[in-house]
Amino acid sequence: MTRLHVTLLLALGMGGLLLLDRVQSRPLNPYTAPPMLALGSGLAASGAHCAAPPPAVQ
Amino acid sequence: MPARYVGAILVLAGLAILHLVVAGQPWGVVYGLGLWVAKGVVAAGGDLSGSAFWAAPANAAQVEASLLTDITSLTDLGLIAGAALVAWWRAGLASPVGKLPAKAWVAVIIAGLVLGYSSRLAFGCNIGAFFSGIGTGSAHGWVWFVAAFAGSWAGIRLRPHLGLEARR
Repeated sequence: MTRLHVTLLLALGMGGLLLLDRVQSRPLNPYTAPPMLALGSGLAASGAHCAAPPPAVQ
Repeated sequence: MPARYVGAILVLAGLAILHLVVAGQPWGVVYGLGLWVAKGVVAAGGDLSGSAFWAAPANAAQVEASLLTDITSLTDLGLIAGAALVAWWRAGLASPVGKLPAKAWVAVIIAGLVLGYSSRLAFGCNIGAFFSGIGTGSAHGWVWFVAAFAGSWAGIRLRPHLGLEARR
């Protein structure tokens, strides 16, 4: 097995993921796209922490 | 310190700042991977309403939206493409994948799953929790560093026993 095989497998996996996403998800709407630059746009910054906890239950 | 290390540090710092400027959040990785699995679960007919994390309004909305609207997913796709690009650049795609014994493959797969799961529990991986955490002044990033340093110390000693490198 060469690196080409691994790269092709990865490309196939990513392509499959994006295809599944296209079928399953809401279509993209350019009119709801965020600003090109978040800095200075007025949007609130969000955290980087990849697994931010859900809000506390009231 | 070799000049290429300094160069790599400067490039990383510059890209991290650029990510913050463009996206409004520091660089992260693990949220995207969890989102991909959550989308897979929904595609397979699963119900995420029982998960406190994925039932939270912001996360539930992201499961319904396209992956291409999720910043973390976009950077993850870029990361994977970048890894393939470096594999091509450094040794060529025709070079063989390193030969490892079966136990090394098993160890790598288990380690990958444990890393993925534990990074969700730890509020991020070495990127979102450590690199971006410390870069944005989070004490959590330093706590993460201490725990990861201890884990790395143990992991390096385990590698020869798992067939991942020659025993000394």
